[in-house]
Amino acid sequence: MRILIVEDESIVALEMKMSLRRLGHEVVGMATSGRDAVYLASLHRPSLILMDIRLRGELDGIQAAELIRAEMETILIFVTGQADEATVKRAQNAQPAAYLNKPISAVELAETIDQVISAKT
Amino acid sequence: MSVDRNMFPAPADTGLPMTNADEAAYADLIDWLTRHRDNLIPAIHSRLVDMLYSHRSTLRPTQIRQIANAEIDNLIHYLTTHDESLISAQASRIVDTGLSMQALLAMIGIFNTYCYEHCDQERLIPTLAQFATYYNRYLAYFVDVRETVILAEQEHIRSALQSSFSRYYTWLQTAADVSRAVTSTLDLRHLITESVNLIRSHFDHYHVALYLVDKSGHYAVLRASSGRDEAEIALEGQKVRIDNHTLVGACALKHEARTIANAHAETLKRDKTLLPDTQSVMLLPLISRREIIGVLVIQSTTMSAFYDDDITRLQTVADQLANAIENARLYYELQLHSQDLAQAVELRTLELQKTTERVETILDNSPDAILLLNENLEIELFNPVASSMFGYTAEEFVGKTLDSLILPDQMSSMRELLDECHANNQSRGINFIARRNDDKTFDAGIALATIREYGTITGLVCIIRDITDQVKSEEKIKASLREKEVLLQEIHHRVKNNMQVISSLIALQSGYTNDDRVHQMFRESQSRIRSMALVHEQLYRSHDLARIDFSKYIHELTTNLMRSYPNSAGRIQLDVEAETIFLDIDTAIPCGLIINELVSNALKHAFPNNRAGNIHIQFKASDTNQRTLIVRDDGVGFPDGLNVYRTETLGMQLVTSLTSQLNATIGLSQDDGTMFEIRFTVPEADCEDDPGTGRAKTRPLVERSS
Repeated sequence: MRILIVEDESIVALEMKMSLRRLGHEVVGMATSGRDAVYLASLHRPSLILMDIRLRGELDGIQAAELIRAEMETILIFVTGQADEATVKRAQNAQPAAYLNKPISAVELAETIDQVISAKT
Repeated sequence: MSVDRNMFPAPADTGLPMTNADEAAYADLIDWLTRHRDNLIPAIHSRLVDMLYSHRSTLRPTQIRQIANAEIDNLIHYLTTHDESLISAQASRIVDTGLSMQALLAMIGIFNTYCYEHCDQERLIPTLAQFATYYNRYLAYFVDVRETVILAEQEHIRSALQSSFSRYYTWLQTAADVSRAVTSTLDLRHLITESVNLIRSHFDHYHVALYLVDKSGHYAVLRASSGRDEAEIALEGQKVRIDNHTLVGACALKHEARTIANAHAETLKRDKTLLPDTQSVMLLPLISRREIIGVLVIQSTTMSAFYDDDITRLQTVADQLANAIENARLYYELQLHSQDLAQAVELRTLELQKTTERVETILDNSPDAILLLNENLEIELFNPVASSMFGYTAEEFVGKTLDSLILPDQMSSMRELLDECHANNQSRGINFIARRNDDKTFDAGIALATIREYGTITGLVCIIRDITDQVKSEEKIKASLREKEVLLQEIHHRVKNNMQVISSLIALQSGYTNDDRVHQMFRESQSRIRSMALVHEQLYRSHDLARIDFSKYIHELTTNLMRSYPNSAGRIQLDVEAETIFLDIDTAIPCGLIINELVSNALKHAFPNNRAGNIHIQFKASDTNQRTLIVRDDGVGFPDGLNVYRTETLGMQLVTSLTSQLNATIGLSQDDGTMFEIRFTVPEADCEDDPGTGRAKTRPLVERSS
């Protein structure tokens, strides 16, 4: 599966990349801002995006996801800390396939990706 | 009236010569009378007694007998001597005894009757003729003398009446003069001096004195006197005790008027209120409204100078005088009271003046606008700051209403404030937007108080402060505070992210070894770092940025831990029972790490060989500032003989170290599985501010997750 990681902490993103690779997935890109995410998504057209909601910069994860969703079909998984109700409600507009709460264990990551793929097919 | 002697001629005056036969007849008559003397006297006596008794005469019986004797003897004597003076003398004596003409005629009747009864026929006529001659003369003298006596008596009565009238006139004059004197003045000293002078001058008495009862009521003190100098000197300043030892004292004690006819009686010799030359004295009590207020003393050098009816007359004057004295006293007291009142008014006026000056100073120098509003909320008075604050001249400002100083949309809150002020006499202070004369607005604070007159609200005191600078400062402070909160939130976020990065670095590092023990060590480290990161994450999400809801934290932490041990899913039940208790970062991080170690340890070792079981976490406030954390499992427990506190494992070393850092006590029970109980105290201040727990506001949270 071709996956785009959007996470402003590059080392955290790197840990996720290693885990995904171990699970057999291809990480097509790693964006640290919303703007980069939109760009890389349009460039690589990933089949799944792991999107951190809280991002530094002008666009947060939800806004970036909405822009990407307007351009292409892809599976979206939001990664977040403890999200408040207002944020979750706003995130619904981007129609995410799943939410993952930080810190994410490798097992959780694998299970969630498996679940969204099987739901899609 | 004179006696016509010719009507009753004496025998010698008949003009006829006395013959021998006449001589013999006289002798015979005298002889007859002498023989019948002892019969005639009792007859006359008896008749007189009957008559006089019936007329209630004051003559004694012996006197009546003497009269009867004298009548017969004088007749015999006259017939013998023909001495005319015997008749007139007898007539005078009879008049002196007070016998009436009727009594005299009765005596004559007795003679006549006796003659008719005892004289023979020859002698009867001459005898009666002689008696008639005698009694004619006798009656003529009686009438003559009686007339003289009556005239003298009439003169005496006239003179007495004149004297009495003159005396009465003097009393009336005195009463009128005293009355005039006492009503013409309210000056007490003048009043009593004038009165005693008048009384003395009208009657020409030796001395007149006036004593007044003093305030104690025990003494009568000489207040005014009129008389000769030596008398005045003798009595000057006299003070007499009100008792029976002096006439003045007794008069005041008994409230009785009295006259003393003879002031030289033995009992009065030592009476100091009497003067040496005094012969008689009159004392009159001065009574006003039934209270004795003094004594009027009139002394005379004449014995028996006063009659009883003088008391009645002069008491009228004394009563008038007493009332006048009382009135003068009341007037004097009234004057004193008026003076006191005038002084009090003057003093109060001065105080008011001072207070007014102080209030004016306060008003003039107050930085706040101070307004006095009437019941229609119109400005009546104000200080200089008030008019300048709202941009009016003093003339323009008078009569403006409170509404004109406020933006229209602020009026509802102002009405509420006015209602509050009417109910409680004063209001709290509120802030509002004030409007100036030029329609510019500014932030202001206002407070109101009522002005009451006799319980009725007549106006309001209104204090307005321009708080423009204060509002700006507050906004700056709030902005600064918000900025700091954002910064702090950012720092916590940053710390949490950094910890996550550290955790990721460890995870990346662990990817370069295939040793399971090393992997395990890295995972444990990551878990510890996450437990710390979770504290920072919750801190930046909490409102006060200093404390976190630790029950929420426990739920979050243990859920993450359970996820880290996927093989425990469905087999091991986690049960969290935590009250809403807030902890600061210094307590939350060690506590979090302890829970992380104990739960991780239970998940790893308590349930070997796929054994099922429960892990129970309890966190509660066992006292005001005492907190208790219990981590219990019903697993296999520690191996026999293992000293938990001395174990070399990092986990248990961390637990004991962190317990020590918290100044906590730790208890271990291995009766049924394993139970750690950790107790520690938190600062009082943290408990008081604690929004969740408080002292009796603990809310147990029981949640089961797997």
